[in-house]
Amino acid sequence: MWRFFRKNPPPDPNTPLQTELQELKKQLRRQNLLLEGLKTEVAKAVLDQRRPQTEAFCAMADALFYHIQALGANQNLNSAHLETAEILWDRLDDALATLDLEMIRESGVPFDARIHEAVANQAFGGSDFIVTQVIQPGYRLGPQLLRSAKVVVDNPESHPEE
Amino acid sequence: MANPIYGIDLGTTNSSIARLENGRAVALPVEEGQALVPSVVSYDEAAQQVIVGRQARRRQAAFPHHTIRSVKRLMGQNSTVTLGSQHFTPEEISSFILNYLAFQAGKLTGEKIKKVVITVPAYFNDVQRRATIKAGELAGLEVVRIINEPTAAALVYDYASMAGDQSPYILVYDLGGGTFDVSILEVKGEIKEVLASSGDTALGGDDFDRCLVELFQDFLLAQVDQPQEWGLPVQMRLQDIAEQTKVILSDQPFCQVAEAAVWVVDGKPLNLRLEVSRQQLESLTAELMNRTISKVFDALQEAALSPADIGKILLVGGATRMPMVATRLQEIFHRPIFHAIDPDLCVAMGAAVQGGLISGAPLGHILLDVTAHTLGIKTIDQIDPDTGEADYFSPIIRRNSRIPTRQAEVYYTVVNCQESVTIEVFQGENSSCRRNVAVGSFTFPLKPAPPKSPVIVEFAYDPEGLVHITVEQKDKQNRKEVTLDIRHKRILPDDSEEQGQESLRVVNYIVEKATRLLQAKQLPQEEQQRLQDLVAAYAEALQQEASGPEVDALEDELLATLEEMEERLPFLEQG
Repeated sequence: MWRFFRKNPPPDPNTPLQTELQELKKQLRRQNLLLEGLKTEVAKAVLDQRRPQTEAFCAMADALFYHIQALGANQNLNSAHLETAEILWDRLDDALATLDLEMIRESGVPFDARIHEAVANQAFGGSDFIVTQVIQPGYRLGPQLLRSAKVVVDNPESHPEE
Repeated sequence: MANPIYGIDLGTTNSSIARLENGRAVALPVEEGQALVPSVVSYDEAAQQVIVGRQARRRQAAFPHHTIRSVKRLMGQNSTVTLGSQHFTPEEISSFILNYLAFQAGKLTGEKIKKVVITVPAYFNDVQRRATIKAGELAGLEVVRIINEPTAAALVYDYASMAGDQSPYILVYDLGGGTFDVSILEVKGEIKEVLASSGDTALGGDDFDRCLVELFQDFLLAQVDQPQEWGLPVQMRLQDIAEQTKVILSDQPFCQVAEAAVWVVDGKPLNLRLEVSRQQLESLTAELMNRTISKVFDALQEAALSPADIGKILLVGGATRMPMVATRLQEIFHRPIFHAIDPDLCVAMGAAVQGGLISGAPLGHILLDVTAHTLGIKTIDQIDPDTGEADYFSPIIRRNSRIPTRQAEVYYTVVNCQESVTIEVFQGENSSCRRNVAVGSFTFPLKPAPPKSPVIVEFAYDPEGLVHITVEQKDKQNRKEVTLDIRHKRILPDDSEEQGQESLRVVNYIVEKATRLLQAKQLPQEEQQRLQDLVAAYAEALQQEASGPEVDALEDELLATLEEMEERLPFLEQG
């Protein structure tokens, strides 16, 4: 049996509603984008406003980091020294947190290119690298990365057994 | 607009993407809030995924066999790039960068990016240009045009409200992180033809940093008894300190470097504590600077032109922020040096302007808030033969510097135990203060010091047209701050003998008001366009004839429009 139909199908009564819905969705997307843009601008404004404090804090934290690292290189640190360093780090982290700042200085964690910049690789192969040395600490202000930490990476399992 | 054409600067070290917003070119902050994206690509074997930009750069040392940078140098070559288990052509690698830029920009603007203009170096041959087009196509983009990087830079300055010389020749000096290019363009109506280009692919801002690293190494070596190996940590750290020092010395005559425990030798931490002067940096890098100047003369020779033929000099590339670049070029060409548009981003912005020209998008003038005249002080480097008095105008903030700006220069006392210095501030372009406009003066008492003791004068020009002047007697705890309002100071035309003529203009006032209004998002687009057109016509009329009824009429119309819009703006804000 043949079915006959018109070349142009009859207008669907739902079409105007769908069109309106699509238009609303489009507007919503635009508004979301505007909101995202606004958020970025606000975050940038906050960052700009806090810049003098954050820079001063980061500079101080850097100096402490290098000083403690140099003391560690001396190999003459006793347990009291180490405890002092630990207290200092805790106090510093608390102070940084008042500005929503976080220092990236941990060794022994997996390498993460979102916050770490590798400057050397001591592994003999493989890909699951861990951070073995932090050469320069990094900083995060809230979710925003201010500076990545410069690190040396290694994969202990890749080393030939002696 | 239905299908906006984006502009992409596909650079050797960094890339960027720009588009037109309300007729003005804007570079998009596509990665971590930054507009510059490292041209680095890495392949993540575990995730079977291509990574581009900062994250790729951070992976380079960890995954050297999976990461590539500067692929631009391979464009057009029949070579294969191996990233881990994958093999790619240079075009494919470039397509990843283009795709990433377009995708990230799309996320910011909400537009699906289809059409682009891509820039290439002037020296790229046909094969390299075709390879760039192919890279765009592989990224799913329609490359509507390939343009030369210097042409893009010149285009963006065409749409900036800044006056230049009438000569059709433009010199583009492009000092990037790792490469140097110089090009000479000839403007023939709407066309800008590259007459000559020269450069050095192994010379860039990083080499200037290296000179400072050597200075720091010498300083540290002087503290140890016997030669030691430089480890990786100390090298990395010195590079960072050098870069920061270079940036500071771009604004200040001195930089106090104070870094703790930079090097540990035999368990003893060595600090880096020294003062570096801009003069010292300039002397350390003089040979590098001379190499770029020599390439400038090569390009002039190739174009069969002399320095006097060049009308405009444009600065491109981050390393041109070092004041010595503008100073050296000024000494050679005696022409305005244009550097107000971000030198890192002006090529992408120019590509976006080209896109606008192709699509017929309305193009407004980029209304830059720049200093209309050079600001400086009077020194005794030159004596007026008529009066026998000091009459040398020593510039501190040069004309066309983007506002707000902060610059400092160092001066020296003349006699032993000099009691004071008189800071006489002038604005204008003549080397003689008599021919410039006096803005104000004040006296700064000095503490006892031998002759040739340094006195630092810093000018900070804020968006309100106020100049905050700080004078400091170095190492003497002696400082004074003064603020001058230069908005209502009238400017003498260059070389005018007819001081006090009626033709003097209050340009700063108009620029300030217009900029503020154009930034007001509530102002309807057609109103913005009307204002832009008026400002452009006014700026052009000023260039043509510094006075006359046409300028007066335009100025009246402009002031009336500004007032009318300002009155309506509070209402618009409420609405």
